[in-house]
Amino acid sequence: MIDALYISASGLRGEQKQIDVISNNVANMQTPGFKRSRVNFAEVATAAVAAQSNESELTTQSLMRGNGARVISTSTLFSPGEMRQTQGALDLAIDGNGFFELEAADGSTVYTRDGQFRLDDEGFLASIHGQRLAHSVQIPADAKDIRIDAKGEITALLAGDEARSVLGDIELATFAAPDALVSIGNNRYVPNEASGTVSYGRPNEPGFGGLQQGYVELANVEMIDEMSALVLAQRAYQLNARVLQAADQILETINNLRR
Amino acid sequence: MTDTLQAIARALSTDVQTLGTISHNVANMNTPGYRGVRAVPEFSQQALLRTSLDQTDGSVMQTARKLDLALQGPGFFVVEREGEPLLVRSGAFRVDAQGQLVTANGDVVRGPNAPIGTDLDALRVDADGALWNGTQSLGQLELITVADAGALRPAGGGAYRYEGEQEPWSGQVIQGALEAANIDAAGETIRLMETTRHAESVQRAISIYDKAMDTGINRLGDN
Repeated sequence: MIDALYISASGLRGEQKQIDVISNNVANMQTPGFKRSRVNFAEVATAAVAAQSNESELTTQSLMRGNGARVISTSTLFSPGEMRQTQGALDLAIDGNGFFELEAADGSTVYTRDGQFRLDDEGFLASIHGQRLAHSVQIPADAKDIRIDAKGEITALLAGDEARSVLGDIELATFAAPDALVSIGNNRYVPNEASGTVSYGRPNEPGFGGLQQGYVELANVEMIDEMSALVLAQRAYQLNARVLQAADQILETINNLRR
Repeated sequence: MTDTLQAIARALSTDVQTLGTISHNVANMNTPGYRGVRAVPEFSQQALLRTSLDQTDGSVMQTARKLDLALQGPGFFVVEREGEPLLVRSGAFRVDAQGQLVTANGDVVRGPNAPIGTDLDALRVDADGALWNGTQSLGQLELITVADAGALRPAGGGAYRYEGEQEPWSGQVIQGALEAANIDAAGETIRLMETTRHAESVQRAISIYDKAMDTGINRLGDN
């Protein structure tokens, strides 16, 4: 029947998804380590086969059947966010492409850019959600003046010591295609086949980025970009709704052909 | 006598098809690199309407993402889907798990002679499509211009098949931007109004013809 009904419905669905993603981005403007997402649209179209026409005619005449738009994927954009100074000794920001590796309760590993750590009851570095940093080092309770340098080396002044002692290192992880990481909430991501396997390295090695103690990385959401995208999405939604109405109107006209 | 009715009905059917192209354009208003479809009357025996792709440039949206490439000027990127070369206009690329440059749809972009890798900070794409990682050359994006835009066949996901003449590419590549769909909302709205009103006119025509027939068949000779 009238394709336009389904086609504009596909447009409405796509714009709805776009608005959902924008609202999630805006809601997380103040979430440290948050990375904004983007909806990737593609057109759905087929070359219609004109059955009754012969071969030579078909090559000179273009017939295309549009079937609307489709959301191929929502990808996360890992562009760097702004750094904000916090003075917190366990606040770490990554100045590059690396991820912190966290150990979830069930033993699996998840990855995050959110470097707000604290010490858990056993003295391990843990995220604010209570998940330990993988390969973490135990920091004694009496350690003072904990310092973490750009290369990830943790040093502290232990009770009774004059000189600083090295407690251990922090490792970072990277992926071949970070865009394809799957977000599982709480700023955490898990890899899948599309993102490639994890590779480890020390901070400040090429491709990983250095650590900055006393800073947190803010969300990479740009208010102006989101607002202009919202305006576009809303207007596109309206226009799709108008087309839907027009398709309905034409159907009514057809129904009343013999009036 | 039924010729008239058939002609009018065909006009209505073209309106429905035109509405299909308008809705397709409007549904793709936010699809990067989308080319608008126009329904053009066709006076051959095979079809009532022919579709043509509007090849004007869309506006350039800045995204500040290294792998977003906008094309300006006529032309397409060449990508490979299961070994078959296809043309795409959208430059919303990404790097896949093997480090290859692929489209959002997963088709491999032709041109780079080495994997792009994870570190995109130094990636640069020149206006002529040359890829650089710092000072190291990564190859040249394959870009072509089609001589006959009418021979483009959609292959899904914004890609086209093309088996015609090629011309040297003369546009430019803009890194960190996407080309917006070349859809003009006002133009589509006007075409929409035109189409719905035309359908109403056709309905009137059928209605009046029907009345004339009624007179001809049932009333003629009545006293």
